[in-house]
Amino acid sequence: MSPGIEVQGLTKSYARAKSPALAGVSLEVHEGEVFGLVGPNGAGKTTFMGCLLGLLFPTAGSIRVGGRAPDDLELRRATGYLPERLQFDRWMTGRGFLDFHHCLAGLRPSQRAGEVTALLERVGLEPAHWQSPIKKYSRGMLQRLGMAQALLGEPRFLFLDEPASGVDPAGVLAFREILTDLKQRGTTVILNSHQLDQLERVCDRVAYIEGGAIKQIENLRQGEVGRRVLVVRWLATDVATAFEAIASQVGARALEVAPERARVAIADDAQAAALLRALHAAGYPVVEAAPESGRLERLFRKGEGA
Amino acid sequence: MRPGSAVSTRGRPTVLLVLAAVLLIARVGTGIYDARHPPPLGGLVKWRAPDDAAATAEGKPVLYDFSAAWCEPCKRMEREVFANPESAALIDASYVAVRVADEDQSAAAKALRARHRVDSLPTLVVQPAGEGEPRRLEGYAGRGSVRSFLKRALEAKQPTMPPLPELEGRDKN
Amino acid sequence: MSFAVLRALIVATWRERLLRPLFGGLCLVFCFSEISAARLTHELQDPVLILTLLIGAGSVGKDVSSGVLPLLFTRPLVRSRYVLAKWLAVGSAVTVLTALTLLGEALVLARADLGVPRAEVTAAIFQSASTVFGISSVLVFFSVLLSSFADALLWIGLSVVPQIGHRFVGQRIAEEWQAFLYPSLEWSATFDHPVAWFRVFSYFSTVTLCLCLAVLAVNRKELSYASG
Repeated sequence: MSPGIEVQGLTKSYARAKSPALAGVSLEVHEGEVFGLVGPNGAGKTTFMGCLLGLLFPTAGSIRVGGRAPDDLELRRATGYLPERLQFDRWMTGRGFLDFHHCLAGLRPSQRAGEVTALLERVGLEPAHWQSPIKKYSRGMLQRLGMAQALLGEPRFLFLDEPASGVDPAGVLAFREILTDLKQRGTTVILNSHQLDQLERVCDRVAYIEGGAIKQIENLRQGEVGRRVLVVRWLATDVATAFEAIASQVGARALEVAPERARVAIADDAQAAALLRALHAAGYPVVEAAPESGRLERLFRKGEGA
Repeated sequence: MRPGSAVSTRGRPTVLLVLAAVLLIARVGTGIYDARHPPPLGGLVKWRAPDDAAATAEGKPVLYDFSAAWCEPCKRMEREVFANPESAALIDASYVAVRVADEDQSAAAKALRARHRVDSLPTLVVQPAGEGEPRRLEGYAGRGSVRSFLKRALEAKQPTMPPLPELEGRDKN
Repeated sequence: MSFAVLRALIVATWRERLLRPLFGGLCLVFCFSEISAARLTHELQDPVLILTLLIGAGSVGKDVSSGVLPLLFTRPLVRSRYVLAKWLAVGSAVTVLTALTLLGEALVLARADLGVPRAEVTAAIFQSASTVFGISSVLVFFSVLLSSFADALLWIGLSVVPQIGHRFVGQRIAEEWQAFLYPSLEWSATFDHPVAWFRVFSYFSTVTLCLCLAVLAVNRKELSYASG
C-alpha cells in the first residue's frame, strides 16, 4: 500500500445540486511531495480536501491516505489541517487554544508547554499576544495560529487551504520557510492556493481543477539538472550553431526550442552567465533572458496549453 | 502506521446500541405487564363516597382524591401510592379518604368539584379537621411527593399568608 | 481515545458555557431567585428545567454554527466520545448548580424554622440530577441535528404540544411524549420497595436511545468549510 495519497474515481454529489461537486477525480500523491491545487472558485478544491480529511463522504470512489481510510483514528494522529478562514473558540487565548489541540491530538502533557512555545515562535506570533483572547487577534495573527495548530505533533500529512491569505509579507516568508522545512522532513503536503507564484516556488506538482475534475497536472520539477528554468528570447537571425548544442556545451539542458525563444534548465547563476556568453559568441542577438514564471497562469488562460 | 489495526473515528457505538435496544424492550415489556396487571380498584385504601356525610364529622382531616378511570397519572398514583401497603396505612390512619371519580355525576360529587375548583386530574385536596385552608396537590409527581404532601398537611401550621394555589404543588408531569 | 481527551473536552465545554458573563450571570440570578421563591412557598423549588435549557442549549449545534467542529473532527477523536463529553459536561455542570441551589434553599428554610428533612433534600437532588442528565441527553440529540440554539427551541416547542393537544393525541401518547422529553427518576420509585420498574426502564431507555441516536447522527454528519 502506498504511503502517499491515492484517490480513485472520487465523485461527490450534493443532494440538490445540478452537477456533482467532484466528478471522478483520480490522483496519486507520492510520499513527501508538496502537491498544489489551483482552479477557479467553486471548482471543488475545498470539497476535495474535505473528502481527503474524512469531513465529507464520497458518493463514489475510494480514498486512501497513508494506506488508511480518511476517517481512520491512527491517520488523524498523523494529519494536520489548516482550513481557509479557520474559526476559533474565540474565548480561548492563543496559547490555550494550542494547549487544547495539543491535548486533543493525544500528545504528551509533559512536553506540552515546550512544544507549544516552539510552535508559536516558529509561526512568528509575538509573545505579547500569546495570552490574549483570540477575539482580539488580527487576520494575520489568526492565520499564524492556524498554521501552528496544523503543525502540532509534526504530522506526516498536512492539508493547507489558502494558508497565506491575509498574511503580511513577513508571514508569507515564514510560511515558505516552514514549507521548505517540512519538505526536508518528508511531510506530504496538499496545498490549495490562489497565489500562483508561491505555488511555483514550493510545489513539486500542481493540479488544475475546474468543474470538479482535474484538467491538468503540471510537474514543476521537470529536469533533474536544473532547479531553475530560464527563458531566452532573441531576434530572428541566421546562426550556425543550434541552441541545444550551445546549451549542452555549458552543461545546461534545453527543454524546448522555438524559432525565437527557448526554455533551458540551468543549475545556477554561473551556468546562466556562461550560457549567455556562449550565445553571444555564437552570434545570437539575445533580447531577454529571464527566469520562467507564469506557468500556472497559463492554466487559467483558456485555449493555451502548458 | 500498521494498516492492520484500523479504528474508525466514526465507529458504531455497539455498547450503546445494545444497551438502548435492551432497555427499550424492557420498557415496552414492563409497560405491557403493568397494563395487564392493574392494581385492585381503589387500592388498599378504605374509600368513602362523596355523599357520605359522616365522613366530615369524624374529626380527622379529609383527603379528597379527584381522579378518573381514563387518567394515566391517576392510575399510576393508584398503583404506586394507594395500592402500596405503607402509604395506604398512613392514609387510613391519619385521614378520612373520599374518592370523587370523574364518572360520578351525583350532586355531592359536583358540589365538591366546584368547591375545590378542580380543573385537572389527579388532584388531592386535604381539608383539615378544624378551621383551616384546604391544601391541594395537582398532578402526580411521584410517590415521594404525595407522601411528603400528606405528611406536611398533617403537620401544617397556619401559613402567614394565604398560599397561592399555583405554587402549592408543582405539576411535574 | 484516552480519558485526558474526554476530560479536556468536558472542561472546555464548562468554560465555554459557564464563563460567559451574560449566561453565567443569568444562571446565578436564576438560582438566587429560586432560593427566594423557596422562602415564600415553604417548599423546595427545582431550578432544573431553566438551567438545563440555558446551559445545555446548542451544545453541539453551537460548535457547528461557529465553525469549530470541522477542525475538531480532524483530530484523533472518536465522534461518539465527543457526544458523550458534551452530555457529561452539561449534565455535571447543571447538577452541581442545582444541588447547590437546593442546598441553599434547604438552609434558608431551616433558618426560617420550616426545616425540610434531609431525606427529602437528598431525594430532590437525586431527582434533579436524573432530570438534568435526562433532558440533556434529549437536547444533545436535537443539537446534533440542528445548529446553534435551535435544539432548545425545538424542545420547548415539542413540550408544549402535549399540554395543548392531549385531547387529540390521546392521553397515553401524550404521557409517553412527555416522558421522552422530560425523563426523570424519582427516588422512592427507584429505591423503595416495590420498585417502579416501568419508570426506571423508561428513564434509562430514553437516555440511552437519545445518546445512541445522537452518535449515529454525528457519525453521518458532513462538515466542511466548503463553498468552492
